[in-house]
Amino acid sequence: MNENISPFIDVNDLPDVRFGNVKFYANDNGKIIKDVFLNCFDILVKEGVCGDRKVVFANCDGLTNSRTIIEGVVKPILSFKGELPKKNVTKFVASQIICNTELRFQKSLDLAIESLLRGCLLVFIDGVEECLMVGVQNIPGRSVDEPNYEVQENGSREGFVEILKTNMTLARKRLVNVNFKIEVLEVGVSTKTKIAVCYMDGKVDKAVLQEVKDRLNSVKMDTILGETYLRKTLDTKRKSMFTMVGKTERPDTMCAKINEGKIAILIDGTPYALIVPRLFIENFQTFDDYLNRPYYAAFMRTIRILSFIISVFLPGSFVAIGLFHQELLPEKMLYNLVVMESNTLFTLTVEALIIHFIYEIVREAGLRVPKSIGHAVSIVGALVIGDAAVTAGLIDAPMLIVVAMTAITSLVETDLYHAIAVLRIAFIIIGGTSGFFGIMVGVAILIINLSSITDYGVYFLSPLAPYNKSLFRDTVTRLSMEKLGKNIFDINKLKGDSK
Amino acid sequence: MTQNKVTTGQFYSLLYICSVVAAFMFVSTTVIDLGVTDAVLFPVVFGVLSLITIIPTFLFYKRSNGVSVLNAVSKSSKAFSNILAFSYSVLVFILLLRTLARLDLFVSSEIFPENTMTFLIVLIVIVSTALSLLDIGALSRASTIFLVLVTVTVSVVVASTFSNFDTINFVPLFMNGSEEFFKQALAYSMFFPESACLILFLSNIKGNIKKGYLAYILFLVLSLSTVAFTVVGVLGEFSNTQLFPAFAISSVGEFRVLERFESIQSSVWTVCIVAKTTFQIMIISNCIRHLFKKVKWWTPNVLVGIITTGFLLYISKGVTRFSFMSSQFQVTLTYILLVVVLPIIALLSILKQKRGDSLGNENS
Repeated sequence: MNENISPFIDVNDLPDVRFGNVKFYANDNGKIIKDVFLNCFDILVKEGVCGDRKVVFANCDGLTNSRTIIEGVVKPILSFKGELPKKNVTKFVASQIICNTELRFQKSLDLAIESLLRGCLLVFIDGVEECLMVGVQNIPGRSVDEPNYEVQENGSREGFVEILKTNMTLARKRLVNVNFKIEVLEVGVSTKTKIAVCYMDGKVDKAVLQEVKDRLNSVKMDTILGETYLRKTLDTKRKSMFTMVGKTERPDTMCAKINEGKIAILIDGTPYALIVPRLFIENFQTFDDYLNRPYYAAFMRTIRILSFIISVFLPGSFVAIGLFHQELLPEKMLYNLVVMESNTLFTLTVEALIIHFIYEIVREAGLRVPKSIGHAVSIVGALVIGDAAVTAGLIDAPMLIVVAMTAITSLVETDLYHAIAVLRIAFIIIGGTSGFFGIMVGVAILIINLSSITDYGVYFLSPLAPYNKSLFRDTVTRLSMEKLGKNIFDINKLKGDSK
Repeated sequence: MTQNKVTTGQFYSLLYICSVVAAFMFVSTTVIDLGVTDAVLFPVVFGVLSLITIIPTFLFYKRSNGVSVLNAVSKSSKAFSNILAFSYSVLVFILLLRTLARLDLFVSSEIFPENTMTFLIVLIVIVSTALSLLDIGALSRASTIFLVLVTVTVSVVVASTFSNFDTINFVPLFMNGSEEFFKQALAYSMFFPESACLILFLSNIKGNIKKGYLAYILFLVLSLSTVAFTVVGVLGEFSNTQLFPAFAISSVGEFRVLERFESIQSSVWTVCIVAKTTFQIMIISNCIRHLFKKVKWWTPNVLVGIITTGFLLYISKGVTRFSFMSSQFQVTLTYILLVVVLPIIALLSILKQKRGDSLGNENS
């Protein structure tokens, strides 16, 4: 599968009319297209003869399959030596001459031109104010590959790609169910990006589905070039660092979420699916959990939750203990800490901030630089900044261990990284100014903020707060498949808690 | 009150958080002897008293068909509901000031003795004011998490002090006479007026409020008794020399590499304080909103925050002002007005309205 979603444009899609209807003479249509795309070498307009009439072909080179055009359309038309009928010429050509299944007729020249830009071949015939649009698109894109970020130990190796139709097929082949629906919408004034709303009819809440569609249809943005453009529309909770819009690059994960009554949105041009609503606890769940034994899944989920807690609170707590609550530590440990700390230039707070800023810079550099230079960045980060900073007395070794530990644990939850990075810095500052006292004020704010997030009729902290006994079985722990099968996680069961 | 619905479990978790923190920070040793065995039974007396004093609220709940006090009373008399709203706002404001004053004293004397930490308390007021702009649902749901946090902390502190238990501290019960016991137990109970808030949120709670209340009281009495038992067993008479005896036991406990627990314990109480002050600001703001319906929705909260900060700065300037906030007379008066008088007045008001309605029906 290397084809895009249907390139044909419906009449309702085009907001404004520039060129009116298809002209009577084929050459006139060809001239208009040439004028519109003046100096655009990828737009090809060719003339020919079919029977006793002139024909004009127009296509966008690169978006179309040349062989299909020549073998399936141009060659049969040009080699037709008979007489074309007086009426229904395009229908005759479509049914008797051309060998292609994707065919549409279009009277609006504006819509025809837009279809041209989506990889359609346009065929204009003299004396007919209607053009024939042939689906011969061949959009370039990579083939189905292993996901880059959601790497799994077990299960499928397939990940989404940038081509919407391929992604829809990846989902469709997993959910062989008549209730599995895919609705295609178009957003973005300039980009006219196709998006697919996927859901399981009968499991999805109709009101939530309508709300999602309404929000997507209300998008007034000029360009939609990635999933984050739509996230803003789907996520109305701007007063929090956390979002109820999840994303995945795995078709199996997406299908599992759809089966829970959630809604997935595939966007043309991005290898991710957005999923709404996403609960906080889902940040700590992976598809692997369902492929491993329950005890191991529960263990790993606990590890992930602890990793999140460590990555947010460890540096701040370390600074707080070092500056305000030394009594917590045994004398020997405290002595070692004091000895090491006395050899450094800065206070613990400043040390922690410096090393975290350096870490973030190194991380950002590692993310942006070409892969070949990435290793050099790692070496500079690890050796020069790490080892040399301790030797030079800029930071002490325990702080370096804390930062290293924090850096590793923060990578466990990639989806939460943005929130973790900012919260970590905030808690270092709070811990350095007011100790555990301030940290716990921050914790209270964080928990109350998380509790206040609600969207699409469910609470972000469900099924923890509000507590839902039946759905709690698949949160921190996971029961066996047999037990879960009887009581499969269904997002709609949480709605009762929010009324 | 806002129409956001919370379950009984969530709401009583919030009340529990507000109550249990009082046991650790508010109960003053200047009035109550917490070092004797009698102290273990004080919470039981409080439990019985709470079950009696809540009766008017439950009767009101039955008569008002689950409508909160201000809305129910305003149907019969607008002016009277305004008086009620004003009374509640003033009394809860006193509770709010008491909470923050005690916290200021606690932080200044126990956590950072060398510094005046009023700015931290002001920070809490600002944070609580901001959080009070959220709905009661968010706070209640968060309280269920705080409840787990508090339970774990109390359990760890109690468990860590187990090796320091000395049975010699357990003197015979009623050593000072039963009259003194009840006097002290009643004085102790006055520090927990939180159940009075129930009548203000009746329309927000879904579920069986009576069963929930019983569970809340039982769990609270159990927790308070456990803490009191630990205080008596570990500190004994020494506890009377401490400003915050329930807090003092955490400095005795140790667990593996962690030598002392007071920092961790005080941090957890901080969370509870934030929840409590947020709840109190929310109540006062809602009462003000009832009085002045045309103000912007956030104005009362900000106003309460500013006034509270002003009062707090005034209180923090003098020790006598601190002691007034904890004086037994003020504590008892607030309790009686909030828990006993106002619910009874509200009940009588709605009974009068019902009687008026039934007389009207008979005449027609």
